[in-house]
Amino acid sequence: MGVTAEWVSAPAVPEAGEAALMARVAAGEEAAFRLLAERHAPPLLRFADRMLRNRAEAEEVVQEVLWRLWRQAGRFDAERGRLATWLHAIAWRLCLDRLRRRGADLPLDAAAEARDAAPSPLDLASRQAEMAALAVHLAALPERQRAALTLFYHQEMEGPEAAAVLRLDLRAFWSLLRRGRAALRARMRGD
Amino acid sequence: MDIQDFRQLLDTHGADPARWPQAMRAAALTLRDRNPQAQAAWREASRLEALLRTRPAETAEDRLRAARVVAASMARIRAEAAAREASLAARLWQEWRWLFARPVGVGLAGVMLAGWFAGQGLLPLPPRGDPVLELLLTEPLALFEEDVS
Repeated sequence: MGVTAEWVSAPAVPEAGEAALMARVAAGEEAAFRLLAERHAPPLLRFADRMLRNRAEAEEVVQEVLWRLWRQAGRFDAERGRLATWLHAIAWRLCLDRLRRRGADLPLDAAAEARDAAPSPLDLASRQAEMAALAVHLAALPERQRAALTLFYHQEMEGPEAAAVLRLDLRAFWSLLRRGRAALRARMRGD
Repeated sequence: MDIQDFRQLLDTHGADPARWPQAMRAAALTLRDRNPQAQAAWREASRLEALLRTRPAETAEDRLRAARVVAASMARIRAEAAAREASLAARLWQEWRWLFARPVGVGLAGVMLAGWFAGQGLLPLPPRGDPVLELLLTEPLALFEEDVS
């Protein structure tokens, strides 16, 4: 696994014409499906990676999300929210199912951990170590707190959108985010 | 506002002053700038949130991985479509194969044969010019009588 010597912010996902593309997917057009799948697979993989800490499982989850995108395209209502929100909501439910099947004993993926802790240029060594520590502490948080932090910060969703993914009202989401932030900060401090 | 209030503010609203409630923002910023404990707490919170926002730049392997997942999804979609078509054909055969079973099959063959004869009778007349054919079509009885005689 290569680690680039550059850290960047999340790119904005282009959304123009997604409702029209979804209508074409609902009509069975594979080309429209491929376009949407290629657009949404990378952020969904990042989300599933963070939630599951297991690359193979994350890939299975995203495949399932894309399959549902194909089968249930007719149900998508652009008036009710972005396609990314809808897809993340499906991914969240699938991740939650898997996490609950695993129980409390989270098998962290060696490859996923190595990606965060891999050797890097000297100027990135400290950041890499912090990222590795963050990944470990984040994985130890309750799943909903981890999801709230991941959606809000890593996936750069606004509060209402992240709340919709987790099927929470906005007040409950802010409360969850507050608890997650406090718990993560305490863990990072070694409290 | 004291340091406890400030920590509570960080926990509730995060480290970005733009997200702090308007009513508390001025006091919180003043405390952050003047109180070393508040400043340390704010730096810690800011750093943690920056880490949470950070992710590695997309690598070629990331792109390949995403492409692999998309390809696997396409393959699954096509396989399921093929299976659905095959199952539709099998279901049609299951539902209609009684038509081809005896004695219904014999009846069906008879109906088809009758249909063929009826179709022949409705065909347009052949072109004129052949005297035997003309006779057959217009005076079949006369021809029969001529043969007998």
